[in-house]
Amino acid sequence: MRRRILAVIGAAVILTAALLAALLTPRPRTSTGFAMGSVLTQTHWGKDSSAPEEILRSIQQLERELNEALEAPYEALAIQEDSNGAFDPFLGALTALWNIDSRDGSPPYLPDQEEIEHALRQRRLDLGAYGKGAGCGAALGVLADRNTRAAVINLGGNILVCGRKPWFRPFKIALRDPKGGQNDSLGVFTLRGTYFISTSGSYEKFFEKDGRRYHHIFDPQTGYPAEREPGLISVTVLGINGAVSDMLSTACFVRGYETGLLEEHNFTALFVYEDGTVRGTGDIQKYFRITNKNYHWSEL
Amino acid sequence: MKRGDIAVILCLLILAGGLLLPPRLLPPGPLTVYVNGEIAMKSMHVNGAEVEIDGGRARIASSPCPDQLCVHAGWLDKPGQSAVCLPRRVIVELRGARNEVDGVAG
Repeated sequence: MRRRILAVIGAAVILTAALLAALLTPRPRTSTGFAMGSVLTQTHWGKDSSAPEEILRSIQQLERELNEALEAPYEALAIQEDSNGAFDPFLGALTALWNIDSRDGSPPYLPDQEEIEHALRQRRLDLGAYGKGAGCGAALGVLADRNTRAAVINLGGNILVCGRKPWFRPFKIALRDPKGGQNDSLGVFTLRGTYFISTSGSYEKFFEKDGRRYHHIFDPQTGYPAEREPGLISVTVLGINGAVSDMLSTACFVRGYETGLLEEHNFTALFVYEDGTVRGTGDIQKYFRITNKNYHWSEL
Repeated sequence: MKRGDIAVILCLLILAGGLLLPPRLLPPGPLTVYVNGEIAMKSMHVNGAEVEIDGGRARIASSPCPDQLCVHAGWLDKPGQSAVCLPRRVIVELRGARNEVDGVAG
């Protein structure tokens, strides 16, 4: 009799504990909005329900500041120098001339050499390759002031993961297939802790004329779409600074495969090529797994 | 102990185990369509774009935007997928009880 009672009580205790654990596990809440000309998707674990709104506000505030900025932020000048000018915050006139990233639907334009040189000489400030990464950085600033348990911020494909998900689960972030559609992925990051991910790829925005493809990431040396390393179609970087991650992905896409610039800033990266080869730097293979059969790690 | 007691205890333990199962071992559950952050049950027009909802799947069937990227995203039928029309400011998402990933980079 006593054993029976003990067994039932034991089972009831386990059930209650499990029920409590299930009820107390925070459920993720997702919200979406528009900021910096792209989609802002936020997932938050925890009770703080005002964080998403405050993050949206802080990113919109940063967007206004960057639009009105007369000088480049210090970080942008530092990366420009470290990358030997591969990242250049003064390409505003060039970007406007090509008009590949037009927001009003007006068509892109194929300029001639003289127009390109003229645009390069103007040195007009353009923080397009800085803004979204800096926006993710601003989101981390908001989160750091609160006791949010965990959050994933996605600003137009620039990602911030921060905190700890319930039950010691890692963050899983898919990487879009640069040769596929909006919903195809190349592989998946498995991350614990706080990280930023940024990607620069020739697949994002481009136009074709007379059988040639012109993409939107310009080589500041030539004023033409970057093509220093043939076959490179996208670079994804992983590190712990939002604005720097955005700028480094651009700089690495312009320069082609390398490790020095990345190591200097404690970043690792994936270089993806037209033929399906993926080259990593540092220990990125610990965080990233290829899941798409059209891609494979490079043997180099 | 009687056989009935063991059955009761087993049931309780299985129930407890079920509650503690990691979400990814649970069935995906019903899919919910969100249009610009709101739950959507039937097809509709948003900002000039035509959102088609058909049971557990959805798509942007047409949009007056120049690039048509949102239309090319095609049917969404897995949790976490989305179709976005930036020029017309339309986001169609499919969310499930569990998502395979927490976000998509790139």
